[in-house]
Amino acid sequence: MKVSIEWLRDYVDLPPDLTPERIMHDLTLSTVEVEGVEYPGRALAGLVVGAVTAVEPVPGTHLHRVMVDAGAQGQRQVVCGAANVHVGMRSVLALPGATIAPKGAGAPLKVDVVEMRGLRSEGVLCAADEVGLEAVFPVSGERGIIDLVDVVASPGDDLAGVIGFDDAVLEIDNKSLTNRPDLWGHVGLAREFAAIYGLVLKPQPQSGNLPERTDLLGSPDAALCNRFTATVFENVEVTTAPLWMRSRLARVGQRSIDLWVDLTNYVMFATGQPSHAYDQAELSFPLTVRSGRAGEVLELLDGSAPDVNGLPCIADGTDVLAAAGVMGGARSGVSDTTRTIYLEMASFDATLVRRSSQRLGLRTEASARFEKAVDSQRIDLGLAHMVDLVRTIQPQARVTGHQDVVNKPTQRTSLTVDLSFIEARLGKRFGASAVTRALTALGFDCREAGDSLHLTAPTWRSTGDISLPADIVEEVARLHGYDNFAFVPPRIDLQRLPRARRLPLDRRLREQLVATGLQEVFTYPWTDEALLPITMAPDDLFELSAPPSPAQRFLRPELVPGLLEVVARNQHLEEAFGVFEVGAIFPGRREARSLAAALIGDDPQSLFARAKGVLESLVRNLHLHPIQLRVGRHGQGWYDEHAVLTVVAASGEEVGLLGRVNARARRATGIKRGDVVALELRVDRLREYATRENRYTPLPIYPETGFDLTFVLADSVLWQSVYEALSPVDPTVRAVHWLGEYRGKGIETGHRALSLRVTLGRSDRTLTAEEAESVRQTVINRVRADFAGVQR
Amino acid sequence: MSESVDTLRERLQTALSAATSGEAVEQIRVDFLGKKGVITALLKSLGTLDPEARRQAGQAINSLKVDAQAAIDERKEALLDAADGVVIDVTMPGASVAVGGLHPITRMMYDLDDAFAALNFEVYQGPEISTEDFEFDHMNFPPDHPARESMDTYWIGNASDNRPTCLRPHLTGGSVRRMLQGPPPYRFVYPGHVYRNETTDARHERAFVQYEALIVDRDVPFTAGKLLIDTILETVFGRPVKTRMRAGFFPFVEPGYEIDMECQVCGGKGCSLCKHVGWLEVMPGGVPHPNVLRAAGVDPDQWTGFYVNVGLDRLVMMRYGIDDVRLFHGGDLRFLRQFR
Ligand SMILES: [Zn+2]
Repeated sequence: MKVSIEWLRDYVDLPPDLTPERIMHDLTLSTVEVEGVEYPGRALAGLVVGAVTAVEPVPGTHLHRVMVDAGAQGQRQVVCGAANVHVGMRSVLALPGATIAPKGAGAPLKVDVVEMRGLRSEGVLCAADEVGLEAVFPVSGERGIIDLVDVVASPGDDLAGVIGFDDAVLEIDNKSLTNRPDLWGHVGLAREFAAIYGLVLKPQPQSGNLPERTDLLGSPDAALCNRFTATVFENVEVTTAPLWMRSRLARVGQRSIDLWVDLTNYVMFATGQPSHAYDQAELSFPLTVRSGRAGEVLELLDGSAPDVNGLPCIADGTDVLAAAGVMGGARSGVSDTTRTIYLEMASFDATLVRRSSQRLGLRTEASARFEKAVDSQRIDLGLAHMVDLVRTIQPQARVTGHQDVVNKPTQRTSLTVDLSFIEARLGKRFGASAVTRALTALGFDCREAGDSLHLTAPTWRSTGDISLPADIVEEVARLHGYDNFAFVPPRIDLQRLPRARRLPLDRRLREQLVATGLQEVFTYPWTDEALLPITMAPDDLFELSAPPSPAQRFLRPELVPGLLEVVARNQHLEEAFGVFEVGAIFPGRREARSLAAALIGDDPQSLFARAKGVLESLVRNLHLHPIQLRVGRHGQGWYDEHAVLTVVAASGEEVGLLGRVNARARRATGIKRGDVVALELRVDRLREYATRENRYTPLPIYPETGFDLTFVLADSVLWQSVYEALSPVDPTVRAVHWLGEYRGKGIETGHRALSLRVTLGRSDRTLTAEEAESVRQTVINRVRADFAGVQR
Repeated sequence: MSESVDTLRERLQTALSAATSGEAVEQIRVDFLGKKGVITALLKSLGTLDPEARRQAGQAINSLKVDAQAAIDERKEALLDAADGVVIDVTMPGASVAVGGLHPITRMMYDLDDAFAALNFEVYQGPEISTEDFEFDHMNFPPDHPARESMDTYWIGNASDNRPTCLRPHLTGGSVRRMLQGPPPYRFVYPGHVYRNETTDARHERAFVQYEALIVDRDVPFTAGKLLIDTILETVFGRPVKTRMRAGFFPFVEPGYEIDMECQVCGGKGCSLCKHVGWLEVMPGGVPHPNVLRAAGVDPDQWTGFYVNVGLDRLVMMRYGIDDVRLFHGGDLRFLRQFR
């Protein structure tokens, strides 16, 4: 919303030394965000009033040689093509150096002294659209240069000053005005400035007694309409609004139409109260407010005719006239021949206006105000401004009738606030007189009673804005200035933490995964439909009503497929790397927390070993309850059924899986080369020990000994079974370690050479060489007997 | 006699300089200091001298013997040192260490968690799937508030819950969940992903991360909120950052504030980033609205508080000078690895 400082001064005497930038700063800190200050006069630099003193045709052209009196800027010769140029007129002369936008020229043009047809032209007489003033000087009929008919000015005067554009206009963020319907007009803002700066608001006009009539209105529906007034102005003329009004409207972004449309707009920008002027001759009394009926449409000026069934409408005996609070229809609009005006000034239900505006797809200045909830008493202010303006501008016009139907007057909010409450919330003591002074300036009535203040909010703050003591705290604080409060540290009772201090599992998992060399990534919670075939539970997923794209309407049931896409996106940069994510998944339309990692490289064996190492390090370093790894898993998914481990908790519940990514999943996610191993764990199914579960093991006193062995074994013999067979083979076996394996030359197909190390020791003495050799033989025999393994 | 000592000294030096192996040095030691060595022989010859000459010569020879042993040892050490030589181009680039990294937003989140842990705040984590009552009703959005109907919440069409269900559009709704878990006072931070249906560009994302801090106690003057704000900004920027609070309206706070920080690009002088005002809007904040506290089962006549909510994406962007918010979910390792 645009606010003219010059206009504000009609209602409050702002100190002359208060700069627009200061006003912007103060209003931003105390009330609403001002996004910037505009100076509309700056675009008019170099434009002056010029009086035409002579006009001669240039033979053989449509051009004229014009002499222009530009006062202090001298007599200037201008070559001009406008048809309306004539002796005695005053127009806008652009001096050399000024910037204008001539019709058809495209880019703006800098005015210069030029030769045309052998004649010197020392400036340009301008049309409204060449200097961006079509809102002030609407072009009607044939286009021509601006005729400053109703301007009091002398030749050579700066145009900006003459038309009131030497102003500063504040641009206020509408979003920050949402809860302050009282500020949607200059009077409301003037009141706010009066409170901020301790100034006095000037008296507002009064409409006086208007002659009553009872036939203007029917029974406006109380569910739709809080109050409806109709006022008849007779003996009016539909002319152009005076320059000062057109100028103010233009500065706040409103184009001039005709006097009566301009008047309703002007009163709205002044008071925040919308209204609508009808040609009374076109109406059949009485008017009323009702819901639109089936089949009813509203014909609009642009020729469209939206359905208004069920929307709040203003109607006369014949037809629907307007969508209440949104927009008037084409019928019964004011025209040149209008002699009697029927002015509607009303107050409608905020929610219904918003819904209506949404359904019609029409956002208007009126609907923007009504949907914020305008108090019904605002009409009194608006009407007084209207009557006062008409009296000045069209003294011959008369108010001959007025009718007022009040369904739901806005009730002033009453509340009681304790000074001690204000002190507790603000950390500063405010006396009753200070609070009263601040609130009175804002229109509150205040009555002191001991520590309490009994307050009555003004109607313009009573439509939802002020309702609680906390609202009063805010008023006091913002008028005091938030920057003027000293820091008060919060005082708290030191007590036991609600939960034991420990880093959340999420964080400990992430930090451990980073320690294993993986990079964290974020992916989106929705998944591409094309990836569902490589998930384990593709059915029964949450579906977004309005998804980012139709293919991304499902929320992911697992993390791995999205991670594989990240792997694919990075594979052209590097051959081997690993990524992980910890986040929410939604299998079976339930939210769960999950962890996934994916490693790419060229050797599936070593990738698998590394991924398994990552998983084991999580259990070990995060002190998780033990997990079991079961060989194999079957069914749909991203994993290779021949290279997968199912992770199972002690309870038997499946916690996740670790597997090689199958070829289908690699293709689906765009992984072109290399091998990938991934793992996914349900974080919500991992159990942490309450504290570290480690126990001390005494260090060996006597030296340990041992031996390395290599056996050729069939691939069907798993390490796990060898390990489990050898660990208890003799009481002196302290550990059995994997050293490595070899397949290829010299080893029969379907077999491998498996190397292992056995460590031996006793707690009471050193083992003898003979004892060690005996265990070695036992191991060799055992492997031969159990696994048909041949020592190499 | 003394001439002999000087000659021997020189001969030893020459021999040691010429020796290039430990064996050669050992041979020199035998030649000079061995049982049949020249210095040993010289000592034996002392007996033929008169007492005064013997004393002088003895001193000279003994000194030679000590020096000879030292020179031989030093030469042996020098030869061992020389044998250890390798060639390294010390200007070559350092080898990359294969460590992983946290996402820059996670890193920032944990830095903030640590800072708030020092103020005895707990870390709360709520669900990402939420319902209209938590996201809007409890947040004091009136039944007809436009935000409810706005298209930027990701509503879920097939939720089994009979309440309208969505991906959470903000974190604030979750604070009520935490408060419902137990009685006040509360001091917790609440980080997490939130989702909005927006058209994406360099400044807009559909998934982003917010960080919220809430304190609820008997007396919490609004200036105490500055403590939360300063804790966040100092942690992020590593130095005190000038801030200001101004009136702002949000349904879930009363009073509500917009919190601005001094533009870190121009230092408050005004630049294009801050639209020449010297301040940047960084977070909303305020006192939890009595209706929000009531929804959480907390008596607003007894308890009050302060809350702030900051967009971590934007802070991380400001902190590192990142110019495109979409990079955070892009999964590009070249980007993510810059923040280790
Ligand atoms: Zn700046």
